[in-house]
Amino acid sequence: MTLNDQLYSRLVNLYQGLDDEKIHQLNARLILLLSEEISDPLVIKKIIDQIETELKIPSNSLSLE
Amino acid sequence: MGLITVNRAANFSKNYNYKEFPFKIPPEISEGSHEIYPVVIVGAGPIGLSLAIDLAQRGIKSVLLDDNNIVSTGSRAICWAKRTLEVFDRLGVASKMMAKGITWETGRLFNGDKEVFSFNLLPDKGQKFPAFINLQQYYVEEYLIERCFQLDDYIDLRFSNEVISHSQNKDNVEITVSCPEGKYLLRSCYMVACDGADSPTRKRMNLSFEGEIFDEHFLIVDIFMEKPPFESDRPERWFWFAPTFHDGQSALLHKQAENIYRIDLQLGENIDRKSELDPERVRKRIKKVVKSDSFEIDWMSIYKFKCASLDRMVFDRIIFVGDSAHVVSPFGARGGNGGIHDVDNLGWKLASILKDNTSDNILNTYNEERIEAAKENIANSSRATNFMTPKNKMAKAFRDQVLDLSVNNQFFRNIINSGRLSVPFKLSGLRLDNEYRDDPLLGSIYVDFPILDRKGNQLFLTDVIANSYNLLSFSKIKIEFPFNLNIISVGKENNEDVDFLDFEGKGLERYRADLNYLIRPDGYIVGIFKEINISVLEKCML
Repeated sequence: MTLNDQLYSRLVNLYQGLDDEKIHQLNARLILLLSEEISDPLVIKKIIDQIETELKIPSNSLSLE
Repeated sequence: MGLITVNRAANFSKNYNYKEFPFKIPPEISEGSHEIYPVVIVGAGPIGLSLAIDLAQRGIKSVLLDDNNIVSTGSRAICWAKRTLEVFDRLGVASKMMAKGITWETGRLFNGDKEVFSFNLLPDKGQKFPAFINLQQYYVEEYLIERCFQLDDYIDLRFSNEVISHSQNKDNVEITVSCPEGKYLLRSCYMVACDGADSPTRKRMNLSFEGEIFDEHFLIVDIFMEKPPFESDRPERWFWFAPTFHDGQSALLHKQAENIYRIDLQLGENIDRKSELDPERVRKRIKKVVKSDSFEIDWMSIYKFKCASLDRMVFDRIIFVGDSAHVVSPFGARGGNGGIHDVDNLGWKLASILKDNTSDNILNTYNEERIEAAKENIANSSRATNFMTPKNKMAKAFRDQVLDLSVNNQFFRNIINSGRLSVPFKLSGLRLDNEYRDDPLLGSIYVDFPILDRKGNQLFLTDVIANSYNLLSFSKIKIEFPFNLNIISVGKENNEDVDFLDFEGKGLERYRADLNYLIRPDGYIVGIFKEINISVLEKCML
């Protein structure tokens, strides 16, 4: 278990009091920093594939290879 | 169509000396000629001119038609990449381009007014040409036209000749041309449409040209500036994301030949075109970019672009090349370079049909390879455009955070995309079936390296690649081949029985000494072998 209750609370609390624009910026920063930590393009691709399937987003020529 | 008189008040570059090329009465009108030409090329821009030269150097005659009589009215395509320079070298114009063009080494990238990082694009000393040069399209066309005039036994270059209709049957193409002396009919085995993004040929054929339209407008301005706007005397490329001097939109500054600087300013979606082109308004904008009032506006335009492609490029005897077949955003310089790569791919194939009676099925490979290349170019230029002009709030947030995080972190710098420079498309699905089929060099363009010939002259591999298939070997080849093959044997030591010396050892940094490399006339490595077997070699050829 890497994301325990305490860390989960801290993650959610990051968003407290933020307006929409700041939420977007924080989401982007978190995702980018986590991508750097993961540092394996295949793992990142797997997550994007999963979300594309869930949201029924067609994978196109502009997506990550 | 017609004879254009150069008018300085019109949208011409003010610092380029435009020549009006003379109109000559075509032999179809003056002599009633009914000659059937091997190839008619429509459009004498860089792509059509290059194709005519390529064919001429292979002994194929062409008629090259252009609807006006001057070179490009603005700087337009300015960034010519290494592979394109190698092709231009083969066509006999690269030395002039190198002498006139600008090579920049330092790129500086800003977010707001803060420099995120700078990078150095040092030329690779082990190759004849740098990663790219900046040179205005009108100079490139001028040099190509001069080269066409040198090859006038093969190239019939007709200015002020506009194609108004065409049709094809199983034997040839019939083209109706209008010129200042009237209309006439031309017949040819093939017609090649190099008539640009708005291709009249494509429109006459009512071909679908699908793609993505970008709504952003960009102001493009060339300025003449005696004193460089950069802090150093060396040419640099500066790119700003969201600078404070330009309402948070993107801006680009880089140098061209003859102290002309190119500035691209993103303007947004809804603009008043006329007021944005008002010279005083433009001057105010430019002054903020170059932080000086000492400049003269040379040429300007507003553009909006789309990324689109035909779904095929060969329609029996009518072939599309360059922007007539596919268009991309300007970020990454994939328009002009991609078009020259089309020419490189098509020229030898068309010549082999017309000269050696090769089956016209070979054109299917042009179609397949260059459609895939167009898709790759479109994907790359669209990704750059989407990074530079984010389409929604989340895309903007990602872009902003990448820029912020990249100040101290290479991982994020690699994501920044202000245009990935044009590189040749890599071929797949080749016929090689041995243990080297996964070698990264297979399907790539050969990598250049310096050599000495037997007389001690310093050359590069690119200088000795021939118009035929080539075999690069690191030992003496003693086999006689039943087909035309240019053998390039390279050794490490002067006493070896080879034609060239790898005197800096760069060849063996890039290739393996125990392998032989089969290189197509357009530079692609299509076979890698330890043992040379003629039938295996033939199997790898088209």
